[in-house]
Amino acid sequence: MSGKIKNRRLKQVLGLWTTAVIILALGLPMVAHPSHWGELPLIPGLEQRARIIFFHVPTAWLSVIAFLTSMWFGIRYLRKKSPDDDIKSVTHAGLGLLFCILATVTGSIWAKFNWGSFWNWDPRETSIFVLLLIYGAYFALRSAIDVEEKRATLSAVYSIIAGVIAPFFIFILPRITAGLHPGSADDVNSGPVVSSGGMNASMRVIFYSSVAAFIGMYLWMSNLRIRATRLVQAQELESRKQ
Amino acid sequence: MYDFLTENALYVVLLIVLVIWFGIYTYLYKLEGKLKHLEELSKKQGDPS
Amino acid sequence: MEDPRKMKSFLVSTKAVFLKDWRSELRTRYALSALVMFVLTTIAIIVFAFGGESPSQEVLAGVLWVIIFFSGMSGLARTFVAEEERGTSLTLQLLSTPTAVLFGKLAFNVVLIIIVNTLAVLLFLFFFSTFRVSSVGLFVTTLALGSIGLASASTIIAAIIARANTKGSLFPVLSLPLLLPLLMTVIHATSLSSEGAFFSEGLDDFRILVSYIGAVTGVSYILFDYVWKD
Repeated sequence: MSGKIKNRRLKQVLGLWTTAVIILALGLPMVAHPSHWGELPLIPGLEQRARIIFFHVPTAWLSVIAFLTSMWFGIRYLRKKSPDDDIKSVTHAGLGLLFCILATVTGSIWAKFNWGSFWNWDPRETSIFVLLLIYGAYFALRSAIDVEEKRATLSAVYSIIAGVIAPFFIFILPRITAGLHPGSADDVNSGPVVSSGGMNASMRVIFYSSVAAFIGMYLWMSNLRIRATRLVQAQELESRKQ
Repeated sequence: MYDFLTENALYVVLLIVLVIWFGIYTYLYKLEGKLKHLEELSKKQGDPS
Repeated sequence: MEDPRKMKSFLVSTKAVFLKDWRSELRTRYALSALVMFVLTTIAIIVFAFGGESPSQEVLAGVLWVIIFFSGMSGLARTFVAEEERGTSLTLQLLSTPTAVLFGKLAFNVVLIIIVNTLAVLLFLFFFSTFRVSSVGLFVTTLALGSIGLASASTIIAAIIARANTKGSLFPVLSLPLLLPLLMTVIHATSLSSEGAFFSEGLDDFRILVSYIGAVTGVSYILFDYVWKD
């Protein structure tokens, strides 16, 4: 019983935590020379638009993490052939697609205001585009196979093959070619924004709190989805028996 | 009114985001409750057989 | 496969699978005629679409690989889909090992795509007088590595989609994300070759291509068992 109460408490904490992150990320003032805690640096050329980093970057990270998690459960499915692993694999892929779309949409709206057009074929845009294609292909493949076991096996195989090729786009290409995103080859400020001097302490604290909030939401959502799918499958099994 | 909105655009955005966030949170929270209910139902169903 | 005798039997059965496909292809000429006609019609459409314009070398390099990509997409799935349609995949499962089937089919696809690509390039040179190949060695190596990479990725995808319901339309959808790094690299190398770059300038691209082929073939080898066995 106490476990259940704890569980509920955990969700309330997550709710409050995320609310606080949103208020801080959007509400804290931006000043040219932040001197004490609670002031965010005003980066020339970005100004208020810099706040996207608190929301856009975590979604992009999560879409990659979700892809890897889905692949991991795919590998586990191939080894143990337990249907539960397939449920987990498809759930993580679905959430990954959701976060991938969120990252693409937020990024391209932001790009319209900062870089002048919705889509620029910057290497990182190419890589998120490929990730979208992979997710799309994964679900197209799943919808084309009726036999559950076959569907689980083949989609796991596909996600592994894609997982071998995707790192080229996600990690290598954006860093070796010139582009608009921070961390590109022609970026003189060195490295991705997160680890370099572009952010001050308060910004970094909010950023990582936001990442934590996003991960918490992700875990909660995947947990809900997995349990719901299990119920549906149990129902189907029941109706097949009768 | 217009001046007020343009000067405090950031807080308007903050308000909208908060409303959306509360919507999502309530939805998930309700979903959690419903799911728990269904899980207990199916557990009861499964026990006697 | 440390045992030399095992290795030999693997080579023999791989060759047998390859020869089986090759002979049935020679008898029906299904894939080859479809591919050749596909290349011809696509080039004709592009000629009319350009309407007397002479596009730049980079555009032509891209167009050449678009033709090659889509002709591969229309023909390379054939090897596995045909087994499924004729209902012979079960027989093949009984008579041969999965590895031999994979590498036999892969060899067949490589030969097929190299023939088609050679033809496509010849036709391309014939129709687009502005398309120059200044450094032949660079171009031929790019074409060969690109063909092998295309065949290696599409063979495993073909094996996957042969088991699905909507075979034809699914193939390009599944293949494109996997083939994009290959296409980006070969297009770069092709435009290098028409600029008359030295062979050594293409080495970076070749390194990417070779590691791509190695990675895809390795993964196919590991995972093919799951795809092939029922």
